[in-house]
Amino acid sequence: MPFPTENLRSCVVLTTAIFLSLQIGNAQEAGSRPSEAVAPTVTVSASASDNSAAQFLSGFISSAMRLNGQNLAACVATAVKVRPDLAGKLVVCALNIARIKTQSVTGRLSLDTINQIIKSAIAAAPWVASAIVTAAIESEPYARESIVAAAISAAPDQESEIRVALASSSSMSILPRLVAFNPSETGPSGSVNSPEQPPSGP
Amino acid sequence: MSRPFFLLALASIFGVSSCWEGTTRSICATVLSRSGEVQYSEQSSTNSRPVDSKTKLCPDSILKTASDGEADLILIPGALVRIAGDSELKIAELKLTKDGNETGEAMRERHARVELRRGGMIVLFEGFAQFNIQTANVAINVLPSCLFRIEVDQSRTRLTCVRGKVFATPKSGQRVAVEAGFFCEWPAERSAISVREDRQAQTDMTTMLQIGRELTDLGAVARDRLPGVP
Repeated sequence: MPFPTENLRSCVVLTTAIFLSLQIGNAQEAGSRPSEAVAPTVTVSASASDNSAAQFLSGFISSAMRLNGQNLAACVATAVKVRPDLAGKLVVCALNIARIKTQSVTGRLSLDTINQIIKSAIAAAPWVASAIVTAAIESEPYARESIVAAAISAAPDQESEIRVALASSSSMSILPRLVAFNPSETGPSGSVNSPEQPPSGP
Repeated sequence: MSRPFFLLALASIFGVSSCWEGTTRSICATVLSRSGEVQYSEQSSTNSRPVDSKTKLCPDSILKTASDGEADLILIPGALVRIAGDSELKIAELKLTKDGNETGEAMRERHARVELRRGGMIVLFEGFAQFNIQTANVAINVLPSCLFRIEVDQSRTRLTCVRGKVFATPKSGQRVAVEAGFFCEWPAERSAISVREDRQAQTDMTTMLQIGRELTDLGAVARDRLPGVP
């Protein structure tokens, strides 16, 4: 694993937080209040089969929303290790979280961010690399080549499976049903709402 | 001896304050996208008209979506919302205050107030502004860097928070903070509840994340556009 020790430590704490939220929630008082800090390190044995996918994903989202960069990637790796059957969904959730936090002018994530998440997830569970690649390409179709390269570098043994997944995945728009308006059609038609107006002509 | 200094200080304060030429304007919400049947009515009219790319949702406008309808809006810069099907939203107040003497960092204040009368909306809020949402049961104060969902029906208001923190003040009761990973219902005796206790909230989390991302994409396209004016 290419993560520094500090990130690994934070990841362990986050994993514990996810486990705690999923496993011992029933033992807490029903009307519990939100807590400010991440739970301290507590060892809790967990069985993946005990938790529903929705529960696990919501726990992951709650934790990952607080993280950025390498910490987010480390959190994805831990979550994928625990629930490899949800690897694709976890990666898409992580990409969505990164997108919301980035506030990119172009509306796209940087390839570095995408690669970091993909490599971490695949390194955690190489045998589900094809599922991760398929989900990631559907989420970020513009980064197709980069995703494949990152996946193969993280799991060279899975290259053939990744190539098969790549061939079967189709480049889909994430907004197929919405009628997004062209900004050029909706620009301000009247006077500009600014104290600075263009100079008047002669 | 101190009198000249006092007068000088007074004159300086007066001089500096006279540089302020703040301009406050009402603005209109921008419609980013829509699907299905979405209509709106303006302040002075009771007739509903379909929403299109030219529509300006100015203060006192009411937006209504049919059961198959959805609309994505920018209320003020940084405040993106998706109005779900079968919803009714009133734009109560949208204002910007700018310093006309400044060529950079001119924005002084942003203010948005809307009323969700029925249905649901997902809110993604980045930036700095006073952003308030009113429902039949509760007044919501939105803090920056929030992603959450509000649902209103005849008897209750439900708020599920995915990111950040939201303050809610019920009509009868104390202000409640709803943080990421928690939801709250009004009227109710309990405060914020973890999403792990509710299957619907767990499902909502993933859906909201996807919608938040779609709003981010739409907002990026519209980033450099000026808001409409009434």
